Amino acid sequence: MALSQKSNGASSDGHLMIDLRDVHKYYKTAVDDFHALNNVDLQIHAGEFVSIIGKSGSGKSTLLNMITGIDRPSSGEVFVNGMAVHELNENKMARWRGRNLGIVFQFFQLLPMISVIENIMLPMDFCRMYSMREREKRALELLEIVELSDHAYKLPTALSGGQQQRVAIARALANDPPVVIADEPTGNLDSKTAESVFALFNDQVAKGKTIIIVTHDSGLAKRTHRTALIADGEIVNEYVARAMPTLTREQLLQATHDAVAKNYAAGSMIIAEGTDADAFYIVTKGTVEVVLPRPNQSDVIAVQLGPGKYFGEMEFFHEKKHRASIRASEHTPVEVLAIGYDRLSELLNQSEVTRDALHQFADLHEAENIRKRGGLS
Amino acid sequence: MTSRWKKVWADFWGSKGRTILTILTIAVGVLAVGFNNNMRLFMVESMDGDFLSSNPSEAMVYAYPMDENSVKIARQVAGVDAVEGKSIIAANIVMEGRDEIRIQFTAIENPNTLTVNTLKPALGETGIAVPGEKEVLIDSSAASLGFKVGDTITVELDNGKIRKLRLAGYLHSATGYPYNLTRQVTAYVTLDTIVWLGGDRSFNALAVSVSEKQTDTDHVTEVAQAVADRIERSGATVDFVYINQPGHHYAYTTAQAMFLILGVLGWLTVLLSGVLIVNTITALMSQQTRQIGIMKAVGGRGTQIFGMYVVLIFFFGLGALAISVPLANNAAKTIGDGMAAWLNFFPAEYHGYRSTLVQQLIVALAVPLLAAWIPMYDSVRVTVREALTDYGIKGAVKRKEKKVSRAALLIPRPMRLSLRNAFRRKARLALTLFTLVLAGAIFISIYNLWASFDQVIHDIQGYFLADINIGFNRGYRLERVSSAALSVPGVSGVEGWLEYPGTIVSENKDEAGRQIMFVAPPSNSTLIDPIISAGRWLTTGDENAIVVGNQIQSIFPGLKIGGTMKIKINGRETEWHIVGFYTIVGNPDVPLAYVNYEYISRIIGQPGIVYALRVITTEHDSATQNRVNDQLQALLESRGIHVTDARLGADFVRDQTAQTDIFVYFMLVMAAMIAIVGGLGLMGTMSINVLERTREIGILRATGASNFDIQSIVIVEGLVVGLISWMISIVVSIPITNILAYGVGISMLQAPMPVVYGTTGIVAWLLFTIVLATVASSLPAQRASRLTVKDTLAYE
Repeated sequence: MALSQKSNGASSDGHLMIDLRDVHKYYKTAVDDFHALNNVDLQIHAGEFVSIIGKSGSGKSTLLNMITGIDRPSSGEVFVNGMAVHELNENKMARWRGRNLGIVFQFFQLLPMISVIENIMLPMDFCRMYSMREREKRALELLEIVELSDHAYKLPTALSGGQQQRVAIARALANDPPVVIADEPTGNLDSKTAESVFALFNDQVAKGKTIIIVTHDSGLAKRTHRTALIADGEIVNEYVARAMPTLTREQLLQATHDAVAKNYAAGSMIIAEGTDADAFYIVTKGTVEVVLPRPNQSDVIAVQLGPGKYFGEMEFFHEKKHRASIRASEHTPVEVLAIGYDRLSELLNQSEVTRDALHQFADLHEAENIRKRGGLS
Repeated sequence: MTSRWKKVWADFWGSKGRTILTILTIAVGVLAVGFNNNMRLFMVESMDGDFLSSNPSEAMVYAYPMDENSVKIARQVAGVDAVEGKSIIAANIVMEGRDEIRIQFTAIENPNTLTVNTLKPALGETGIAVPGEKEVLIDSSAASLGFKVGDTITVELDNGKIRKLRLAGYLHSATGYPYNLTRQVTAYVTLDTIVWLGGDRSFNALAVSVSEKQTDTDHVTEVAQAVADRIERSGATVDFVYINQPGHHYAYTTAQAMFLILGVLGWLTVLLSGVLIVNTITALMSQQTRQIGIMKAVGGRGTQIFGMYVVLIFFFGLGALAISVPLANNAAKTIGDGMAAWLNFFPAEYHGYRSTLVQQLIVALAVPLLAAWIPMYDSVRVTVREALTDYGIKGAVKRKEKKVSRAALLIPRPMRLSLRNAFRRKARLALTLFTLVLAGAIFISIYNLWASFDQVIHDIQGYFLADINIGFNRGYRLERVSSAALSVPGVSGVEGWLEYPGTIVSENKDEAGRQIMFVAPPSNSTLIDPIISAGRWLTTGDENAIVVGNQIQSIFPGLKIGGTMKIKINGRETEWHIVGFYTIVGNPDVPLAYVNYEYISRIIGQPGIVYALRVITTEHDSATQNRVNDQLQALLESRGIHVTDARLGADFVRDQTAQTDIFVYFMLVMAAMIAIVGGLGLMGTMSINVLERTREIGILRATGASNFDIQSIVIVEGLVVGLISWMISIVVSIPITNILAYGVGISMLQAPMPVVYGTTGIVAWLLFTIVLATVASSLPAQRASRLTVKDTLAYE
């Protein structure tokens, strides 16, 4: 089963900017077809700052190529800002890309034979954006933003790696595209320079741009709005990753595969207290409420759990009967991922750390449950 | 200028080495076409302009005696426009320390009032001096003899008398033959002077100009023969009718043959240049693949990017034009002026030629664009992903099951690397090989053609085997002249030959006959080695047997072995049995037919009389020939036998060779140009290979390869490519040699030349290839060895 990764509510006030639907990508090799992307669904909203992380060869760049139209999916659909990118021919794609996407490459990819400012003006020339006079003015403004206006008329080779990457960012912003996509933008930079580049991205997000970066740096990834973890061409559900961060990528992918999505209308009951427990749940959308009964037969909401939070772990480690009722919040519908105890057991057998961590939380929640029930009585 | 055009300019101006190489590649083709075309147009314009402005006669009818009445009769013949009677005699200039030089005097009253074959002031002069009594004017082509105006020129007449003439001045005879080619001085004297020189007031030649179709040989021949018939009927004896390329300068056909060869070579150079352009542009586009990817990634459309490269190639073409147009003009003018001096015509004012410029524009702009179209199209079509990932060392290389054979392991590893590198880019290798092979094949073929010319001369020599050929002013008894000759030390044998005019009788009684010359060696002659194409040579006892040549065959294609010919001799019709056909390349003034001396001397009533003596010397070197010739002439003169013409075998070969060598020199220049194209091709390929393997070179460096190792790998690769091309070019040169020998033979000598496959060209090209490959690979090799590990491994 495939799981989609949808943006959380935190930045969903923007419209859907990027929408990948059931995307597969195969490459022919001397041996057989290589499945580079497998059943990928990814939704990113306007104004989000998303990082894509994964090991080398996991499919990060292929995923990025799908979004930028640099490559086409073998099957599935890719929409960017409402445009069916997978349907564009190479020529239309180039023009569309020039106006709608800014791309920042790991190795900067500045044209070495023309000056820094010419590199920035090139996308404007190709896409005939802005008047001739405005192009230079805008390029200088962009260089001002990346603090390189003093180097405008130098050749790129005269600049340091960090400076070149900032020029590449300025070039990516040349046509004022709504989306900027960066492939390992800090991969070749020292930490201080990487920090300044990251700050630039943050500024752009603040101005409403949608930024997607591919990075190896999990520390950097954590500072984005959300992270898409990719392993073996598939996107690991970020809520699974949040719930069990100590699992390896392969284990997370396994967990993603094992998880079954369940949707509940607002206010509907998900689990009733006292019933047999058979699954571990991770909230992916909306808010669930843990409800405890009052002596007067009324309920009290003991705790609210948002995306990334989980329940059902106490029952896994202790008595296999639900210790509280859980229902969808009255305000929003809820989506949860359910992982059967047998599958969870298999996963935890592979990761003692996760088992211990989950056990600790189970004990903590159990104690809390008892405390709250005691408080109620 | 927008930034994308700035990129185009930066690509053009920024990579100067690549730009120069590409421009030179195109420029060679543009230069070859421009030079050839300019030369052809300039020479034709100059030759024809100079020649036709002299109101040339198309035919000369040699007959005796003639007077003004004969001229009037000739003028009445249908088709005749103008006729001028000439009194012509020949003598020898005597110069101390030099061989005698033949001089031909033509009588004129005033050199400025001629109506046919008019004369012009020599180059740089404003007028022609009118010769006075015992004064002579000579054609400026003989100025190399060193006579100055006012000098006395001593001549020995055919009757042995010595005459001294004062040089009144030089003039330019556009219709005459230049001294440097014929070794005969064209001279003009007054009628009184010619009588003083032993000539006659009556004419012995008529210069005939036809009223229409001046360049139609058949028409001119018909009219001239009609004139000859009328003159003969009027009582004169016609010796022969001479027609050579009517309406054109005498060197026209020769020049046309040369232009044909140069033109073919020129366009071959363009073809090679085109192939090189494909290679260069393919490599350029391969280098630009990543940049194309970047441009596409930032919004560049395929058509926009394609347009950028079209403009870049346009710039290359303009660069090539800037170099080649003035160079082609200057070269054509300089060499054309030299040719004019050599072939004795006034060069026209050089003004450049629009048609050449059009051709050059096509070669400089359209050919590169056509050549580059597919590489450009392919590169621009590359997707961004391919462009940004599939460059340099490829990631997804097909697995190869092949193993390196044990035998291959015996080759040193760096050498194996060179061999493997040479075959890595097969399409590029194929194009480079194509260029080098074609260049090599043409180079070898030109050497073979040179050998063919030598063979032709050798073959012609077979008809003139004597060491010394002596002509007399009249017939002498063979016993008398041969006994005299044999008494000269160094003479080992003599043969008395007869040359006598005849007229082939046409089946159509109204049609004028065709003049031929009987050449009659004794039936047991050892001084002729003809090339028999059909039938047999003359044997002792043959009576009216005749062997005719390819010239007569081409005029009368119906002639067959065993057939008969009717030939009029001294007005009497005789019948001859054709026993054989001989082949001779070249176009003698009058077609020659060989018959037995014994028979024809009887027919003409002069048995035992000879007009020429063929002498064999004991040694055949030039010094012996000269010595014996001097002694022989002195002896004959002392015995009252007047020698009109003496020619050494060695001189004959020298003169013939001088005429063909000029072609070979021209062709070698073209071959050198082609070789340069080949070298540029190899240099380009090696540069590209080195560039593409920058990272590999870094790896080699990192694993300990020295400068020498890296340079060796690159140079050996170049040598491998060069040697492969050399081997293939030997094979390819065979058909090209055949085509050249046929084409040049037909256009220049009116018969295919014998094909000779020599080793000189093969060896020369091998040496050239080794030098070329070494030089062409050295620069890229040096560049490769200068790369540091850091540079190369960071190379993207």
